[in-house]
Amino acid sequence: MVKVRTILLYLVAVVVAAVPLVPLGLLFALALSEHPVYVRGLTLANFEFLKTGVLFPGDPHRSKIYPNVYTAAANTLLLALGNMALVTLISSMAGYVISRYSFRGRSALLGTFLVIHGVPASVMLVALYYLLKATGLLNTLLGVVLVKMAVDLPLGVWVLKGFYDGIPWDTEIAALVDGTSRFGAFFRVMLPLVSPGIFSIALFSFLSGWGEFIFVYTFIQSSTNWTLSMLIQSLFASEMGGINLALIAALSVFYLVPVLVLFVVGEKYLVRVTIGGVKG
Amino acid sequence: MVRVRLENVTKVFRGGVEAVRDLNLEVKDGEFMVLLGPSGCGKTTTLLMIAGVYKPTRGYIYFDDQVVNDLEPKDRNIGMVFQSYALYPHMTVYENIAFPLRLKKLPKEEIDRRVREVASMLKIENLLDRRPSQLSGGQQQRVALARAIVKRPGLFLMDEPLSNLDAKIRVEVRAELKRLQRELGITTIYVTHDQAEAMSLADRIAVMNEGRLQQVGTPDELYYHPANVFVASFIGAPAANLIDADIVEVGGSVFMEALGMRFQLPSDLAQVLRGASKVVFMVRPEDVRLSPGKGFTVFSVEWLGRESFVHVQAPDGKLLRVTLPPDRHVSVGGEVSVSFNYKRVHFYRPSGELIV
Repeated sequence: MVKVRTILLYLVAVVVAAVPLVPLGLLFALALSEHPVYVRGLTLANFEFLKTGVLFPGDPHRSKIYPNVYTAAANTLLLALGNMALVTLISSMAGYVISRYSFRGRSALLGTFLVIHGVPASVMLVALYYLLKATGLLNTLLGVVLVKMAVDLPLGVWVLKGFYDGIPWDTEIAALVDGTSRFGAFFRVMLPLVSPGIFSIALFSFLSGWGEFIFVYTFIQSSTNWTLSMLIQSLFASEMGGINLALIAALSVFYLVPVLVLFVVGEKYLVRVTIGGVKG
Repeated sequence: MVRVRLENVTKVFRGGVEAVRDLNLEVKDGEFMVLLGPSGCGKTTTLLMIAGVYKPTRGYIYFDDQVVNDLEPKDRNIGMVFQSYALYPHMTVYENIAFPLRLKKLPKEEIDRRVREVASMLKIENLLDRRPSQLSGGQQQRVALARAIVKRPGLFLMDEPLSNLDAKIRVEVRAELKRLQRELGITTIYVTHDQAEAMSLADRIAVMNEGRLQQVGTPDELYYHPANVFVASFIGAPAANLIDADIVEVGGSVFMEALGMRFQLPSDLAQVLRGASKVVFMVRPEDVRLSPGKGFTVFSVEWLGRESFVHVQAPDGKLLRVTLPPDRHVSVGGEVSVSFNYKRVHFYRPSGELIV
């Protein structure tokens, strides 16, 4: 005899699951649709661009406006990997120092991190534009990577600091007494022990870079430096004479697949980050 | 093996906290020295300074006549055991023990031989493939010991290693530790707040309070000749009686007025105390004799099998702790008279120092 409570719980679960699943389902359906706007039929024709990366291969005029899909994908990958590498590297070291050492201005620094993390990126756009222009980094991927890294670092440092705080001081002293230098203790003992935290931050910052739009939109002008998010957006914006939603959907699916894979694989690590770096 | 000497060692932390003040201590080669004191007395700070984790603010630490103040922990050739064991959770027991040897870059066969040798010494050979999280507290303790021993250090430092163990296991491990230390002959400095542990393990004990050294001596010396009120009250269980008293001279004899009564003092004590006025009188529970008579009332009796622990109430209301041999029986409410074994008592000034 199934309990009423269980049925109710499942019902709620279904409703909650439907919220993200319905749009996703529509997306996939559209991507496979024969009609450019409505969902009709089943075809792989929209995924033609996968062969050469060129959008609108039959149209000589249009195909020159848009960059190659694979170029955009490469840029997206670079942005994601660059963000991941920099944020992970800096957070793992900064988190350690902030956790273990007391220095003047430590609490001020931590407070600043909290404040920066709370400020929405869009507020800083104008100032960042001028900053990048002055340093000659405007319209470069490097500029965007650096900005993205700066925005993601506060969270990275907080999370990793939390992990380091969870390792008892004794363990480190034991390593020092056993014969490591301060560096050695960090590399051989501390890093392995916070590796779940590092994986979480790596995953998080990769996905953060992969999905970045507003900084790319603001700071990048040449279409060869576009990421996939820009490409999709431009398809919406500049298509005159009719939008090909199905194509956009197909492109979006292409953009989305790595995210879905990473979410499934790294779910337990991502949960740690959002809960705020609590160990275990 | 190493001889350790601390000369005027002081440690002041950021914020002005004086954890250790002017500590002078010598630990002999091969000796088992215990740093004993209540929480916050500075004993762990002292241990960490000897380990090299903290640097003394003032003063010098010598290993065998060499000043080691600026020597890194890794170069001090010490083995350390912690209250929390501090094993590396991401390594197996074998790797934990082998870690210090790997850092020394010894050849693999040598490492394997030494790890197994130490493992069999501590009876943990069958645990080598497990992770620390799969071990009981006692087993983890042995692994921690093995890791400290395997590098053949000149000095052992132990920070309350038995505090996390069950009471029953603690007594066993205590005996094993003592035996092991004797066998290996390694100079050992051991920190604890448990005076019974200190008394049973130590060759000598250094009692500390509020960052200062109170007294150094063998367990015997500390028990029978405590140098001040703090040591007198800290060592020994049940605790010694410390009673405020007045010394008065009446008709050529010296009396002690305490607990609402007057006690005549024997001539040798009288001689020393003649000029004094206010003192603190210290007598251990086993040095108080009860006999049928008047003056004190039996307040409570705890029969512990091996002895009886009795509280008697003095005329002025204060309670005196007395231990009686098992064959002596008193009942609550009964009247007794009290006498002291004057060969074992001590008198202190109100400020705490010993008079006699």
